[in-house]
Amino acid sequence: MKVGKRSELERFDFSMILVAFILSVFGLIMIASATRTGVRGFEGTFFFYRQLTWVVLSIVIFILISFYDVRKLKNYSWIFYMLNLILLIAVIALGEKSLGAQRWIQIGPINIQPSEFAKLFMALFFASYFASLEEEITLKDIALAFAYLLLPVLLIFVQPDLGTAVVLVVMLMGMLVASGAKIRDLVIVSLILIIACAGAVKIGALKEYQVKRLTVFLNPEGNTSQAGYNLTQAKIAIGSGGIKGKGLFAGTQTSLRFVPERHTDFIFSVVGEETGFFGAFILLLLYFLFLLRIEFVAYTIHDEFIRLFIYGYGVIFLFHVLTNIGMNIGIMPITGIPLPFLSSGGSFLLMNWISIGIISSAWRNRLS
Amino acid sequence: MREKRRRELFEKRIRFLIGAQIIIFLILLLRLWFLQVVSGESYRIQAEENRLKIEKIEALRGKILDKNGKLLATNRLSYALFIEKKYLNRDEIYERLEPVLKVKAEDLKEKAKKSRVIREDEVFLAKDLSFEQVAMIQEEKEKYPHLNVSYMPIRYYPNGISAAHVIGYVGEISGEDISEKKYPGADRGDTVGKTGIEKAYDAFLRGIKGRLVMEVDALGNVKRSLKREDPVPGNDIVLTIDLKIQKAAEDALGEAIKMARRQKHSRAAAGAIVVLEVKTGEVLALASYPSFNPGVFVGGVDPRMWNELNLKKNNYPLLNRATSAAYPPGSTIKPLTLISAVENRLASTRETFSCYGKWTGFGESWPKYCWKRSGHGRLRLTRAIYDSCDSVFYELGLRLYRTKKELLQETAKKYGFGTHTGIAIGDISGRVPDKQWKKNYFKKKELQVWLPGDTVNMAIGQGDLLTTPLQMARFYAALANGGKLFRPILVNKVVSPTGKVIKQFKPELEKEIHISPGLKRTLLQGLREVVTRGTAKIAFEGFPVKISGKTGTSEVYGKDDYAWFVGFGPSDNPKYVVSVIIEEGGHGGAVAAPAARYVFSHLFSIEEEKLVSGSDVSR
Repeated sequence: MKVGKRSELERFDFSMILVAFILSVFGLIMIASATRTGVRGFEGTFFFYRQLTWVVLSIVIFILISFYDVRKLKNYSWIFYMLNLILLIAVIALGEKSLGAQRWIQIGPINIQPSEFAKLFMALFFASYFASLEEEITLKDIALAFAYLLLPVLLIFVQPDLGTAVVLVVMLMGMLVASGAKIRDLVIVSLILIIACAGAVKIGALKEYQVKRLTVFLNPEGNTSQAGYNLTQAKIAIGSGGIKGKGLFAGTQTSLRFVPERHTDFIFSVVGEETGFFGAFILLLLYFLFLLRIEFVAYTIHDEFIRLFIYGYGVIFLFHVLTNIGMNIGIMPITGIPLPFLSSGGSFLLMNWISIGIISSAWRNRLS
Repeated sequence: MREKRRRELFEKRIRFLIGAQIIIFLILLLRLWFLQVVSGESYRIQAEENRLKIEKIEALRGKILDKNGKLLATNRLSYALFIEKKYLNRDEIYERLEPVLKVKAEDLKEKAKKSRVIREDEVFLAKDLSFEQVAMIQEEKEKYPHLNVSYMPIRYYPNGISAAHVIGYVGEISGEDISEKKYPGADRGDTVGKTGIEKAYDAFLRGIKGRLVMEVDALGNVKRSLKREDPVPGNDIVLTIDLKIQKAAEDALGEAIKMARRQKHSRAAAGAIVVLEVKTGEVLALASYPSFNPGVFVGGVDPRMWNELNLKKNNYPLLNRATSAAYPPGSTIKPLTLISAVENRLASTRETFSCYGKWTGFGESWPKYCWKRSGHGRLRLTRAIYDSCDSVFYELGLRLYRTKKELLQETAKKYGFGTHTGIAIGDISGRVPDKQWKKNYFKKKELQVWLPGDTVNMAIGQGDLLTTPLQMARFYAALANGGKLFRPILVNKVVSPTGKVIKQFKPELEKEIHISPGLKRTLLQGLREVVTRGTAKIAFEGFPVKISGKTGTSEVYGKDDYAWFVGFGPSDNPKYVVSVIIEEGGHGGAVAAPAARYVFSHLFSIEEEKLVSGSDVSR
């Protein structure tokens, strides 16, 4: 019994969980620092405690999922798809409007952001879809996959949450790569997507402020908009951190409110300012090791559904890190894409821990 | 089999993901290296600039005092009105203030928005409120919740228009002055001296600004004070000016102008008086009429007032006629002509001249006339001075011309004409005309030639020679003190706020000019006799102190005659020189000499109450 229990624990992938835990705790510290002088009328400790609650809740759910055999989830793909649509429609029907977008629905005391879960649901759905294909993946299958994606993406696009819509498309592209789509087919799809994007901009599907926000990173100082200001101040914050940083809870750019959205989209500016290049390097290293670890899991396990899911999740994660840090340091457009484990907000954190739960469960069951 | 193939493909594709990942992380790290390590210092400075707000604390400006310690310029506390920055755009505040401040609401708003005087979270709105205005605002405090009244020191000139041209005035530094770095250490919004002593000694008066370093958040709210550096008050300037004499000179000018008008010289409206210490060059009084109140410039002059101050019909009150206006000297220059002729051995003090009223030195067809048409008969140079005989000086002029050297010009320059005197508040150089000048001045070839008449006219002070009243005073001081030409000084000492003398100014002897004893005797005797038996006799009738001097009446084309008197006393041991000009006042002996007598009476503490009337027909 004793031996059995030990081996049961040993089957957990501790290195991945440890990194995720460290990142979550680091996120808590950064949020505490970013919001210590209050944000938009909220007290200095409000966001910290809210995030702490989410971290605890997420880990509980992670543990529950870890003990469940996630391979069974493959059969529920259509349930995920429908659940996703219901949630996204619910946002439009009864969502809370905040900061000019309708992204949240309130369930009891908590706000959830269905577009964050859409990433999880669609990753599971497509993993199941591609794993179920008997033959080699064809252009027809690809077209069908994009057809499945169209409705959720549109629902997210009208919120508007351009960032998440882009994440979903990128994720699908990644999963197509993972599923063994031909290079030729991938090139064709990419070209069609580029033409479609250009067309969407041309017919004015994007509002002027969205285009402005997307292009502001090219010349932030010459731009007097809110986005230009955000970016300029974030760069000052990060740059001023220097090598060693100003010390935890000692950032001026962030605590004196020069950087707006410093606890959510611009949390990296707090990292850069307070911990400097040193801290930012460690953070990037943790993200890198985390990704490397889940890639190793995907490489190791035999279940194709889970393998594809991990690949999709990995693409989402990498894309989040790239666009979020990229926009903080002025090399990527400004989109509302949060930084995994660090940005304040429960839905994305929970989505990440659920994904880790799925990976962890798959690792535990890899030999069975 | 299918399973294996898919797996192999997946293994290949996951390497692709890892490859992409490595590239992405390297790009992010590279960019972070650039931002934080390479440019870290410049961003750190930008972050500090974001965070820190530095407020200047203006230093109390030093005082300006007369030689006896009487205040000429000082500071006084005044009520100033401030508005909270957040409410700058509330129109109703300005509308409510309109009747109280008697300034249009939109003007007030404009001013508030442009205001650079900012303290904590308030912006300067109005200066120097009256007690009634403050009461009106304070009584209805609930109507003006965003306004605050507080004390602010402002410049104050207790004597009004007295000595205004010497003291000068202050104002906000101009953009041009900042870019040209005319006032070291001063920047936007600072008050600096604009003219006069306020400008010349600004560096001493201004003091050193203090600083308040504060931390502010993104909205500009002050979070805390980090550092306070107290300002260092400016130093006091003690002038050589004697306010009592200054006021006497100003009164004399006013009265002389009135007197000139009574004598049918109705265009008399302006003039100047300079009083110097003969033995040191110290300026005791420097009066220019009309004057202005430097107080109107404090906190910004109102445009209508500025316009008034620059109108011709108001005779340009800002112009300092004692130093910055030059006039033909008339007969007051005759001693110079005499010196030039005698020193160059073109005439002798023992020589006898003849005056027939008409002078025919240029031939019968080109006669010139003495002011005394009946002629002075046979006379020597002493009498030529005291009776101001033109014929004699025409003759001297002609002799000087015939040498073909510019001897008269040389002598004039030797005595400081045609150059700046070096007085601290600045002056103009006047003009000593010569061949070169004439060539440059006139465009037409035929007018460019130097003619004998030019030298002859210059010899009696009626030509193109232009002198300032200050230059004239300095020249006569040199005559009185045996040839010492001083740089006129206005400042006696600079004293720190704690009373320590920082700088003591001493007389500045520019040069000592040798005058031969015989010439000197002739000159001094002539100048003395101007007062005892010559053109200024009536003006100085019964004056208890011996005075020497010379009247002058300069003729200006298209204008009434300019009246001059320059003199010194006591004649035996000269202490003071007084130089007077009344523009379009008529004859020197008639208006300028009485004005000088009035000033002398105060110098010697006899204090005559009004001007005696003089009489003079000479020039």
